[in-house]
Amino acid sequence: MSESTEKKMVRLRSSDGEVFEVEESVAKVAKTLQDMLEEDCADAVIPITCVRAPILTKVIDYCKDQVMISSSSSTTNNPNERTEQERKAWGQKFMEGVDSSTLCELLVASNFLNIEGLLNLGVDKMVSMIQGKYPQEIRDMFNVVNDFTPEEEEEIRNQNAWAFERDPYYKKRSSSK
Amino acid sequence: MEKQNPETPESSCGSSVRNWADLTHVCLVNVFSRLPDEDRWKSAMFVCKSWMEATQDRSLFVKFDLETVFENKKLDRSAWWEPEFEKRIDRMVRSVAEWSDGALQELRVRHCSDQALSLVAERSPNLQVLSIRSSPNVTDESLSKIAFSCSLLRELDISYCYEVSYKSLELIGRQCPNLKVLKRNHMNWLDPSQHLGIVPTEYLNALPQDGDREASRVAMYMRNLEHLELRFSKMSAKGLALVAEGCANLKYLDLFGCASLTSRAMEQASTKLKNLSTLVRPNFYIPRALFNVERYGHWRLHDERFQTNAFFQI
Repeated sequence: MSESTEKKMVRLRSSDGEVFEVEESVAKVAKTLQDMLEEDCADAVIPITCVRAPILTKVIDYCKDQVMISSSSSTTNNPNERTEQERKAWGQKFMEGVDSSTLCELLVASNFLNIEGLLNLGVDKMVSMIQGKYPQEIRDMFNVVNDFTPEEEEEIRNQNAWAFERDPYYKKRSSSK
Repeated sequence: MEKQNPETPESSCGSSVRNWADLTHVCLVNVFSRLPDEDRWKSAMFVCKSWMEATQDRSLFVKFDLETVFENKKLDRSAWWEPEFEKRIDRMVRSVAEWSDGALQELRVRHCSDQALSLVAERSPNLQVLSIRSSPNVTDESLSKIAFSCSLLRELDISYCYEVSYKSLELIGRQCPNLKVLKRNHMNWLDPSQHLGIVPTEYLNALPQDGDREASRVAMYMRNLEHLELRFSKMSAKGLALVAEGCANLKYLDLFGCASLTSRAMEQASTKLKNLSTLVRPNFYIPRALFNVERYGHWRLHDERFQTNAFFQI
């Protein structure tokens, strides 16, 4: 009984040395941490060497929210407390204002920590950012350097062109972008 | 004291940093798996080398389906019948066959040729669904390769492929015992107006005439079929009787536009096929000028044949 009233805390250290103390239940949203905790390294400060503090803050925010939903839904006995639509809206709000470099770090972090829900949010955000854009727009957005030589680029274009590219419908659409 | 035991987490996280490139690759592949084909082929592939590698990851090519693009009514359909378009589709199909590295299970394209399809046969032992409708240059040559290499085939659509003959049907039937779905529709030759200006006239005129021979191969070698479409086939009552005899498991049979079938033949077939849940009858409209009405003296037959003016869309 005493264990349930006294919340177990876990400490996480980001790559830039900041230590975060969170409830165990929050840390356990991340499958990777859950596995570690179950292997009983709960008292140690867990180093998350590939995630910087600002990103870890965001990740912890996400995990806290997940814990809140699951606990509130179990007490009110209503598992559908947050409808699909609300969940979507919440996810969108959570990712709002996330710029491309933060997004990339979030993707890496959620992939490493194995947080499926957050990974999905990140991936969906990235898909929406890429969709309908030209390669150069994407490079600018994600700060990617074009490492193709013009010859290589031409070669791919010849070998793997989108077959419908010359259709007037597509031409019209891309010129109106 | 507290930091006695960080060995495991430290080392596992450290190793993922060393594999940073892999991690990003996994993330990118995940992103591309939700990106429409068009964006993958037109943009993502050209961003940089690591993005290109991710767009060509084999896991993204278990299924390659261009049908939704082909179904877009706003596209210029007449251009599809030009050799240049076939070349472009061929290049895509060849790339897909190579990148999928044997993972390809479902391929739905149109207007490809023998060359690309031969490569698919060579590279795709796990192929289960093949849809290559409206491919005027696909012949028995590449389909025989498919028959011998892709024995897991469960669905085949060779509609409007007029260079494919009964020989392919026989081979596929012999080699692919799992085949459940066969679509072998023809263009509306009774009223070709809907195809004019899109499909070359000489192709419209090249419609296969041996409906009965094809039906006999289906009946003989594709005994496990559950779904069969033969729209506008020139099959006669004899051909239909063979199919009803041979393919006892048929649940779905589409005979729309099969002008040589009488209502009696339909009746006999449907009583024989015990599992049949959907039967699309040949109902169609024949412009009267095309036929000598005298030939159809029997009023019931007349009634049956001139029922609707519903047209078949390709």
